[in-house]
Amino acid sequence: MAVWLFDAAAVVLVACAIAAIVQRNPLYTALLMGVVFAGLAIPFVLCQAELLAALQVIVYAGAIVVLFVIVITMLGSESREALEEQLSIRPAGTLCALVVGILLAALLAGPAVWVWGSQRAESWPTLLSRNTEAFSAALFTGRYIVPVEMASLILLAAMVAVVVMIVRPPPGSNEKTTTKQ
Amino acid sequence: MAAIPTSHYIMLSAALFAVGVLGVLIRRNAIVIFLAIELMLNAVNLAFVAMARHMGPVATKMGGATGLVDAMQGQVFVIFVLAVAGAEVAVGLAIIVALFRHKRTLDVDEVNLMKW
Amino acid sequence: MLVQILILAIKIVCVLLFVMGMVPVLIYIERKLIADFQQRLGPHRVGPWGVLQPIADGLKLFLKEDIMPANANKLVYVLAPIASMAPAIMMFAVIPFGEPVDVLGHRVGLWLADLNIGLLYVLALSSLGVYGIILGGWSSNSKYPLLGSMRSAAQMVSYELPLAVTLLGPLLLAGTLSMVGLVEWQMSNHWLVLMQPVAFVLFMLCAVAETNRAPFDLPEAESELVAGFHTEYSGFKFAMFFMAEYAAIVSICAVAVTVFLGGWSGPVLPPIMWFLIKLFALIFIFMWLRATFPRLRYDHFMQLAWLRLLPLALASVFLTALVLCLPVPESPALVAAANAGVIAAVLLFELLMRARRRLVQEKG
Repeated sequence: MAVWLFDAAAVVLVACAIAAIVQRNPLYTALLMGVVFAGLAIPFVLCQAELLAALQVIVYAGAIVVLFVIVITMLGSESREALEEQLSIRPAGTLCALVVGILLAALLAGPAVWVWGSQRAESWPTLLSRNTEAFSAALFTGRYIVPVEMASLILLAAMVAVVVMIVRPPPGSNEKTTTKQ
Repeated sequence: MAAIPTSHYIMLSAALFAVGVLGVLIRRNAIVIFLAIELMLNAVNLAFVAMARHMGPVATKMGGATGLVDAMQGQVFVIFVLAVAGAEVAVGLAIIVALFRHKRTLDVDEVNLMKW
Repeated sequence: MLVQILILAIKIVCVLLFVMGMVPVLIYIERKLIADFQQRLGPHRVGPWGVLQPIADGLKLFLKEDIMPANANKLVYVLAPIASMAPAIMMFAVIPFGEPVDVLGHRVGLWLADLNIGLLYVLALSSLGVYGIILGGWSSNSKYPLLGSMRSAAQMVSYELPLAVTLLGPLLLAGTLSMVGLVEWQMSNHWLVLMQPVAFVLFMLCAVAETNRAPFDLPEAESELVAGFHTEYSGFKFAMFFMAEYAAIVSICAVAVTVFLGGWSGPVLPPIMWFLIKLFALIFIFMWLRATFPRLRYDHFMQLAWLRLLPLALASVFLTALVLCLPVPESPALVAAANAGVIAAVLLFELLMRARRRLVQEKG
């Protein structure tokens, strides 16, 4: 049963991704991509990575795409692409993408790579079957503590960067007696 | 219940990555290009998780605590990719909005001041 | 196998009936309660004591003309109420209503699914709830809805953070993300609200803000933005937004009951009765808040989220974690004392701020 679930999900995901790329309206693109990102939780759950599936929906479909949708609804109506120009790039681009896809699939999914382990993954030992506990064991004890702290610094730097780039003082408010923003 | 072969996950990941590449190459709207980049990141995430599941039993058999950490390595990578992607989207969208305020267009072909 | 599917189907139908049935009940209770708070009668003409009022309201909404604004994006306009309704109903999939019972020889838990990441599923759905509002506001092609929807989106996204952080305290204590696991932990220990009162209060505040209820309902307030993001909606689509809001209230109160108030645990009555009693108590608090407090201004409630609730939530989690790390035997009294310390610190801070403000006023 898991196999047909995966097959159905895979077909829907690729179809939505292609549909997202060819949409003219950027909002439809963002919504379809949101569907793809949320739908990627299905393969994650089938790989027994439930925590990652939940985090994928929370972070990608629930925050990142919301950010995209907000930006598009604030800016996007003035940004339709002119379809008359630059049509010549389309065949070349499609060819490049096809080449990339076929190369990746052939190299990574081909039989030469599977030296270790079997093609059909066996069942996991007990701790690993509890994904959240396994994650905490891996992340917080051992070699990943420093990257965790660095990730928090990266997020802080990103927040500061966004505020610096976007927040402008309102016009005519350079006196000292303005109220706090 | 037969398990899904890992190569299926990798092929799905390759397909999504290729669609992302297509989006970056074909579209001119900066936001759509950015979304295609995020799609590529997600495809790579899927590959990481699939490989973690594939290598998991082998790695844990290799022993002890490091075995567990090695088995979860792919999934730990994905967590970090999630965090960094969140930061990257925020900064990237801020750049796009700042660009839009300046040039009133989202077309990346218009951003060509440094072209000689 | 077939019996399992049949049992699951029956459970799904029951949960759906519960959700759909709670909406008219809530509409009636809210109007009567707010009328009581305002010392008037409320609906009393349609049926005995006005109990048929929600049915009359529903009929009115269904029979109204379905207007679509000119130049509105048709697809997104129709999609938005659905996108608002779906996460609110989906949240009921992980809520445990009662103890497992024996049906046809099978031990059946009174829940649809016991995910081992149940709490994260709830958080994921509350993150997805923002879409309906943004899409509804934008697709109406009109100023008031757009403003209201952007404000509401910012509000919901901002209050998701303290909501998630307050849930970390109970997670640390119970050690499991599964909703059923949380209830079972609370049955063998005691209710988490006793050990995490600060987290409970913060959770309730964030829940009120997440569901766009007063006093955080500026984005849909009548006196400010006509009706916010659902200004241009009428008829059945407006009914769906309305139902989505009430379903979200019920679901987030059910989550609060499960995480903090012990789910279905209680002495004498059947467990599901206890669940419903606690659920209605929290819903009563929601309506009490609506009837009592004036609306917060937009910048005030954004400041509340970022400057007050989030640091408080983080402090509460930090203290809980600290107490759990101490080399003393794990005692509930200690955690409760840590929380009481947080409350005392906050009260002290507020008193100091007020004294300072009074001093400044008297001087200047």
